[in-house]
Amino acid sequence: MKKLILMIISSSFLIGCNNNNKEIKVYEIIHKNKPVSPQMGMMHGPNDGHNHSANDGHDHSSDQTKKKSSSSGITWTAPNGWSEVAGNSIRLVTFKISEKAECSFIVLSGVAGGLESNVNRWRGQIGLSPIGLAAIEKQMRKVKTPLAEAQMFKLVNPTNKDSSFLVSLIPKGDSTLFVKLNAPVDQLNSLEKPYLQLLSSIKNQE
Amino acid sequence: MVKKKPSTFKTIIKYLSHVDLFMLCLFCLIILVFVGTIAQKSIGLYYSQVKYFSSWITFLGPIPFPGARTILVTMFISLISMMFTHKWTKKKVGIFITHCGAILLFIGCGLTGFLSTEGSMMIPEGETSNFVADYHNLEIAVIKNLTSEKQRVYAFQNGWLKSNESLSHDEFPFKIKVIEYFENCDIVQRKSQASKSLKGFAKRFQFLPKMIAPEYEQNRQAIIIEISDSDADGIYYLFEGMQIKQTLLAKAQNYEIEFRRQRRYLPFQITLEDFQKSTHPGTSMARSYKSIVELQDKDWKQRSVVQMNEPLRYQGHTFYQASFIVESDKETTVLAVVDNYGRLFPYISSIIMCIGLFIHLLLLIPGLFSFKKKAV
Repeated sequence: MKKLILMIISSSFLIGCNNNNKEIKVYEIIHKNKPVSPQMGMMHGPNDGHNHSANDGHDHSSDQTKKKSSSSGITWTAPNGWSEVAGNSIRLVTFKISEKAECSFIVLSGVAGGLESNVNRWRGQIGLSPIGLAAIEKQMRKVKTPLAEAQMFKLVNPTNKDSSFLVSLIPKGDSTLFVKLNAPVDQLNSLEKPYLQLLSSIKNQE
Repeated sequence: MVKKKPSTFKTIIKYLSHVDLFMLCLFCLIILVFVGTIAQKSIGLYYSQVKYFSSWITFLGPIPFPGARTILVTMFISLISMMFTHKWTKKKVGIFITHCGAILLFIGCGLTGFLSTEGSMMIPEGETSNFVADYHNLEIAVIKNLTSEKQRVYAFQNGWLKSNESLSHDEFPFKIKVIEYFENCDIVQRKSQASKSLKGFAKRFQFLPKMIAPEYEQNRQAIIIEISDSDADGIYYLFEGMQIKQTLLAKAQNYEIEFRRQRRYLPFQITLEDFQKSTHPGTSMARSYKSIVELQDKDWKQRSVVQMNEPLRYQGHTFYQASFIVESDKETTVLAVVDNYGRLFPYISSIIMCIGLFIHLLLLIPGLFSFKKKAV
């Protein structure tokens, strides 16, 4: 009897010691309140081109130019005429500026590959050849933002009129915020001022 | 007369019940607590807990050392063995009760260690939730849309998150194979053209493995899986917290695949009616915050306030006010949900041990007086 009790108590401790849970749980759920991802939520904005009457149950009186991000903890102010459209799983927000011009925020953890590899990747996207870190740093412009000092680059390939970039890397805690504006070469200069306005409006959520 | 040789079992029990073994375990436990506490600085609280306290065997540098689980189980067995082998007399009734209290403490420790769960429940204001997301363990969830409101979920628990594991189910028309699992990684855009086998998110981004950060929350866990025998065969990249689910079509049925924190669905639901927060004057620092919730179990409803030191307890689940998220137009409460079946054991066992020691003290008093008399 003593043996039995001792065995039961001892083995009961060893049962369930398997921390390696290889279970497959199968269940059914009702999803009445299917969560709407922040990107989907951004599809509806005052400047996204949708029309509705004044009394159809929703208005934009509370919509502010100032938008906040729930996941990233930053706020920004979109320049006049820039409308926010749906992003994707990586883009925090995308601004539609014109038919061919857009600007987006991307947050990636760490240094996200580093300065040299990122700049050369962008250069490659518009047909420019890679350059060394020293040359990259020479082209870098430092812009002060309330968040941190941004490393800004203006990337133009004279032979590629369709695409040119204004890109900034802003360190944000243990991640990096990329603000990338893509526009045809003839529009880039005129978009530089609102782009800088946008940069200077990015700050931590209070 | 020939003396009967004790059986092997009795010999083992005799050895286990020896007080020296218990003391050795206690010494090992002290070392483990010391090392584990120091290690928290470099590897963080969670990984230190896993390495030293939730393990059967650990390493102190290159030296193998019993983990806290091995030590505690040995102490428990030693204590039980001692209870059976020791000759108890009326004079030792206090010690006996104290030992019973200690055994109860170990049972509580076992229940907490093996059965307790912790997670969080996030509820936006005005919305309802009925599941708890685990703090640490992840799962691969394959979600089949049965109707516009009904989904069937196949959740492969954390034991499946290993390279070369094949994830399949009788009801799946396709197969999933884990290519690689990352405990921490960076997500970077691809520099070169992606191969045709890469699908969805993987076309544009790749994972770069990274050193595990001491703070568990700082790690971005990710997984690469390969899907075969579907209409969208290929390699998919998933990371924890990915906001858009990866979808695939197989035999005219849509499936979603998610890499997420393990979910436990509750038999009731909680609605956040209001979240109230007050700040210190002139600052944005939260002074106090509370959630006014409505718990609904079938037709039964109860309105409660969850705030600091005032948790909501229901059916063995305890909901603590843990944190909150303030968005531009909405507040979301974060409730810590703890299921601890051994919660009351430390209190009960401490009372029993106190009673045992008190009785033992009372039984010793006459002896003390007789000693004094002899001395006089």
